[in-house]
Amino acid sequence: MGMWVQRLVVRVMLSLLGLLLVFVVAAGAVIYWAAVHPADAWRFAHNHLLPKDLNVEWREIGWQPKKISWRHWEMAWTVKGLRVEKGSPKVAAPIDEVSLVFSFRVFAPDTHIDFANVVVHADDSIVYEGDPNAPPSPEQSPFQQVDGLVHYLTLGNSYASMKALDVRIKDLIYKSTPASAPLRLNVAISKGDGDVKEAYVITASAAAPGWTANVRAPLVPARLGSAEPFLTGKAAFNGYGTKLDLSVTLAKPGDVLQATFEGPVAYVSGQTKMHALPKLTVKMSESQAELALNTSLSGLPGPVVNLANVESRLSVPLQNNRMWADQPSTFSLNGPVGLFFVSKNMRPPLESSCACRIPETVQVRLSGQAWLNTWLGPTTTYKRPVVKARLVIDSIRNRLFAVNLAANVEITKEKDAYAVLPTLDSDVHLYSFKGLRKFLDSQNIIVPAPLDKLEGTVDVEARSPVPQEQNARQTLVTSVTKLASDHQKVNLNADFRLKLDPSLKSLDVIVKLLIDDLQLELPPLDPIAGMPKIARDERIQLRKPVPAPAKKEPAFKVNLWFEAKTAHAGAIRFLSQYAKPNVPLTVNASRAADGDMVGTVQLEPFEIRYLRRSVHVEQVRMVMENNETGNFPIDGRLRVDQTQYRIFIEISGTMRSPSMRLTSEPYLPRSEIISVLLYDRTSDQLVSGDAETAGSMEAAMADRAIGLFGLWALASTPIKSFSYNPVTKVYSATVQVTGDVTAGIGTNWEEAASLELRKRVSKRWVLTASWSPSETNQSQVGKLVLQWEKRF
Amino acid sequence: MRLRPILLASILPLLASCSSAKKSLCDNRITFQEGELALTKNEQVLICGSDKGLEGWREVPLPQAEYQIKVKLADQGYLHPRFERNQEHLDVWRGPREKISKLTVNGADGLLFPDKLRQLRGQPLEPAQLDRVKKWADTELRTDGYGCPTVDVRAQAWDQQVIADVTPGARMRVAGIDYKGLGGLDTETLARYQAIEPGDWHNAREMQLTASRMLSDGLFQTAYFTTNCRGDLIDYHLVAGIGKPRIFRFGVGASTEEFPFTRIWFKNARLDDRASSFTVTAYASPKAQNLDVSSEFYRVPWSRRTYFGPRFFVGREKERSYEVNRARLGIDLGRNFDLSHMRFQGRIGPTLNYVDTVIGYGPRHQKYVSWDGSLMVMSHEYEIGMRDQFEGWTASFDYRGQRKGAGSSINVDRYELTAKHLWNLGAYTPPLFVLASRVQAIGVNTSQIASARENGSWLDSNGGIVPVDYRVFFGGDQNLRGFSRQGLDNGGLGYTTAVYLGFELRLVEELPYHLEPFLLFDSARLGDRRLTLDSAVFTSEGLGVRWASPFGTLRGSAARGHIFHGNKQTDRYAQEWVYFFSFGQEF
Repeated sequence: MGMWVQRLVVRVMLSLLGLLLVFVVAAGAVIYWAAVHPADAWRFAHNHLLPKDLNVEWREIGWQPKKISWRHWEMAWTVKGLRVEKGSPKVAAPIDEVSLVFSFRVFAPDTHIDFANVVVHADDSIVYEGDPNAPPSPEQSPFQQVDGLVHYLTLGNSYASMKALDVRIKDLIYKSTPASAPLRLNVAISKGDGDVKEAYVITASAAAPGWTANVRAPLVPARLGSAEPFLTGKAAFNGYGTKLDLSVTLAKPGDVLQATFEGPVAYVSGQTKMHALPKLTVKMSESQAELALNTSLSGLPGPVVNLANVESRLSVPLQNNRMWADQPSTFSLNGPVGLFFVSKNMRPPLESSCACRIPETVQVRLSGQAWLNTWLGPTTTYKRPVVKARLVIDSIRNRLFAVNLAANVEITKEKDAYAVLPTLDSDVHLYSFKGLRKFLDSQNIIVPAPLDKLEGTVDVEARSPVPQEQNARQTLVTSVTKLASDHQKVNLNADFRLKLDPSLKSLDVIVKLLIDDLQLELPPLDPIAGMPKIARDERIQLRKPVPAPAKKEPAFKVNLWFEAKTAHAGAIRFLSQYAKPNVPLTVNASRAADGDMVGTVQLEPFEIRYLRRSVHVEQVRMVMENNETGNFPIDGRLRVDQTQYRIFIEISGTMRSPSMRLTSEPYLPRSEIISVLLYDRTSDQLVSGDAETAGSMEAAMADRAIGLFGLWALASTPIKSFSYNPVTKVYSATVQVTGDVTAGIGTNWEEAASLELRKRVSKRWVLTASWSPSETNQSQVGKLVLQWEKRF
Repeated sequence: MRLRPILLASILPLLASCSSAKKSLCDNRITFQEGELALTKNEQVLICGSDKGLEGWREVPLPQAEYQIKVKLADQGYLHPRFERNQEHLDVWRGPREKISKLTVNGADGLLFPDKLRQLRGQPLEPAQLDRVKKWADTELRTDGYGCPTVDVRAQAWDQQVIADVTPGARMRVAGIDYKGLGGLDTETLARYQAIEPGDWHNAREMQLTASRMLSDGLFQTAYFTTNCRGDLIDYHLVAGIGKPRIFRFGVGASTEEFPFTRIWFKNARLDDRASSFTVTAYASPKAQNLDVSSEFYRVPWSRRTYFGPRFFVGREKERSYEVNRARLGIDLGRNFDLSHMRFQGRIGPTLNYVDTVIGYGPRHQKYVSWDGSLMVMSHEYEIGMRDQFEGWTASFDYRGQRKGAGSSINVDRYELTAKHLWNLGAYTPPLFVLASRVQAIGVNTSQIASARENGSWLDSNGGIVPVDYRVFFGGDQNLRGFSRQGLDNGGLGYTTAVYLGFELRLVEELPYHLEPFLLFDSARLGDRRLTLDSAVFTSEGLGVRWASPFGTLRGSAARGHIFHGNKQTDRYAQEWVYFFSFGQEF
């Protein structure tokens, strides 16, 4: 058995040796034939071995092999008028001259090729267009891609040497696909004529629509594997408003690739002029890439104009044969940000208010993870994380306020859609409202009376996501306000629910304001001294309106919902010397995103006392329905208790045009009610002047010339005379100013034809002083009459 | 003098709510470096704060005060003030006051004429002026048939232009008038008050005139119209309130002419469903004591605007130059109606008179029967604007006569025609110049006065004597303003014939404080023979000033009287400057 096997092995080995001998002899014969008859060899290869769409032609070819020994040859090969054309990918390469002078030796003492001189000159345009249908290249990690190139350089440096190299390609037109924009390159590589004899000097310039680039980089392959950079060069880019002028070094000490990029970067677009001085260091190994960027930035748009000493780091895990690894990259950014919102003028009052020193800058830290494979790699139908980041701003704390600001953001990708999920983790505490008011006052920002007398705290917290709703897109900001003064109080709780649309196109803000306790003082105005204007008359336009540009859909839309309600009935109270005990208000209102208000504002029962008259406000309610004009319907009832009658003023209609229905207990007709309301007597007991007043009042009410304020005045003040002009819809009232003396002057000077002063002596006795025309119209007589009148 | 304490006590509290303009406000917290500002009591609260309330409004923060001052200044036409804050002090520069340069009316071509609205251009660009434009446009349209116009007024500060956007709507005729609250009154009764009838173009002023007439008659306590627009028709709804019919007033007092006086007045304004009325007035003062009973009975079968007016008067009148006891008993047939925007009021009837001239020229213990009649025509324009005296006209004809044998010993007739016309030159609002003219012609058909002058007898040819009521006395601020009041008295006898023509050219709303200066010219010829004028021509020219005060019209004039073609009888009249000051009188 053993012998049989031994014989079989010997025979197989002999057969293989014989086969190899035949192959070597045949190969040698082919090589010899090809070397001796290159034209015939090329024709054979063109017809039988090379792709059918490849066409290579030349005008002249020269070949001079010289045998030094069987293992050592010297070759001189020259091709002139070479033209290479290929269908797909499309190649059209007219090359004027290719000349190679080299010698090679195999096996002993080693395999090596020495290029004495290499010349490639192409003055005409060389075109390359990629084949869109070509199968993709095998996936490689960035390290593999770079290291592969470096590896070839290393191999080349090991097996070959170059004494002189002169490659000049004047116009290489590169298109990744036939439809893509062309990239034009002018490349020159030379060796042997520079300062460093071992260096290959690569000079290239590229241009494409919108930009140009230049590179000049001496490459010294001998330095590969050492700490010394094998490539040091300059790269410049000018395009799309950006100018780069970078110094580049590449080194490969051991298995690690190291690169540095350093130099000024400028970006100019319109008014924006940004400058940066970055220094980027890249260290790349088979398993990881580390990028470190130190930079200073100036001319930034927005409130923060300058950033100095911004440090950022990116650590990218690498995996062979994968462009991007599945593991996340980690990044961090750390830099000081100036407090742009604290201007030079603001600083002293703010520091005075907080009894502290406000720092010039605060440190901002951004750190997190990024899944480059998800971001840059192929899309998937399921959701994967792209970025998880946390932004932290250094806390500021003093006697006035404390600020802790932090935010997280999570970006996920599903198919081609990105979802951004920001979450906040911040709080702001205001310790002294008066301090804030003092500061705002110095900036001429109104904290109006009576709010300016309040002192207390405001705490604002933003925590998200909202845990109970399990909706990570929501951010909840809560605010608790507790302010007070001697007689005033403001206790408010506000929730701001922020919902960011995952596509970053809109933000929904839902504000819920709960008024626990709000007590404020109304200005001590005198009801009969005229209502002062509190806003400028909008009918007078100060500036010419600029034609509104065509409305375009905003790129980012904020939708606001607002809801305000009192914690209990009458939780809002306005203090006034005329309202007993106060003016209690209940609010339950909400505003939809389209601006429509819905809800109610309701006055709870209280009493108005003024000039010895009192009116009971039983209830007044404004119902806000979807009314764009803001002229909301109202309803309510006031009660005036007169000696023998209870008068009810029932209000209906709208805010701007209220209508009033008068009823009484016991029953009286409308005209009688007005008499009782004004004079506590029915019309038959009125003197004629008072009856005229009551009549005018009725006319004005019927014409809706009396608004809500007029109604209040009517009900709460002892109006003694009232005149109304239905043509001009102007009314004027006279009130009892002191004691029981009244004075009536028409609001319109032209219409005031006479003045009558009355002093009511008793119920029916009136002392009247007047100037009036006499009955004969011949003269006017001033009279002072004490008159008693009865109608029966 | 007795009125003064009450006037002051009443007006001062009101005036207290206003304050004069100040350079420094709020205890010198605010200083006006340019201009000044006057604040009302309430504005003071909002800008400076107040000690009256609690702690909330003790002091107003300066930014809030600045805002409020800005609002206040804008309300006065100062649209671009400047402020400078220096810690707890605010300096204010009021800036220029914007003035209105132009008024443009859109949507009312041929209806509104902006050039006719005076005193707008050059006025401050302030809300009050915008309100004025709105009121003007609205009133003009509502008096020209447009019942429901809409007027929106705005202003452009950059070109100082005021723009009124007007939608007049349809021109409307009065569809009808319905009534509410008449308390059983016959609706036809109201016809005698109506200044506007169904079918007429809507006119808000005439509508209001109707209500004013109802109220002034005392029948109604309340009367007002509401309207309802529907297409080219407008409905009037009259809401009236009728008080109890009987009104009794008792008063004691004093006047600039009499002290003291007492007056008892009783009226039954609703004797029946046609609102016939009955009025009794008793008056007593040192100068006069009288009882006046009058009534209007709307019981004429053929008309509800025509009335019978029985009347009775008895009284004693004592003046410096005479003392007369009188009694009159009469009955009139009267009618009040409107036609073509004119008011007609006419009445005529016999009167049984008794007169006893105790002191002065006049008959003693004489009884006679006279006929008294009058017809007054007044344009609605005049009636509406009677107090302003801007436009319109009025004319009246009065007759009084007595026949010998009909309870009288003499024949005498007195005719008086009076007309007045007010012309708003240029039809501006408000008027610039008002040219007023008046004509008066009086003729007394008797030769008794001339005979008395020539023969020294007070009896006429029939042995009778003409009562003082028939005689004509001229001079004074009601006719010839260059002569003293009733100074042209023909030696106390009076005249029987007079023709008067007067003019006045008044400048309106150009001087401050509503002072209206005027030029005057009067001319008259008089005669003491029957329907005959003497050759003497009396003229007066001069100037004066009218002040439409809140108290009523005050007028003062200075005029010099002249007599041309005079004779012996006129030599007694002084030709000199005469000064008048009056309350309530108009041209």
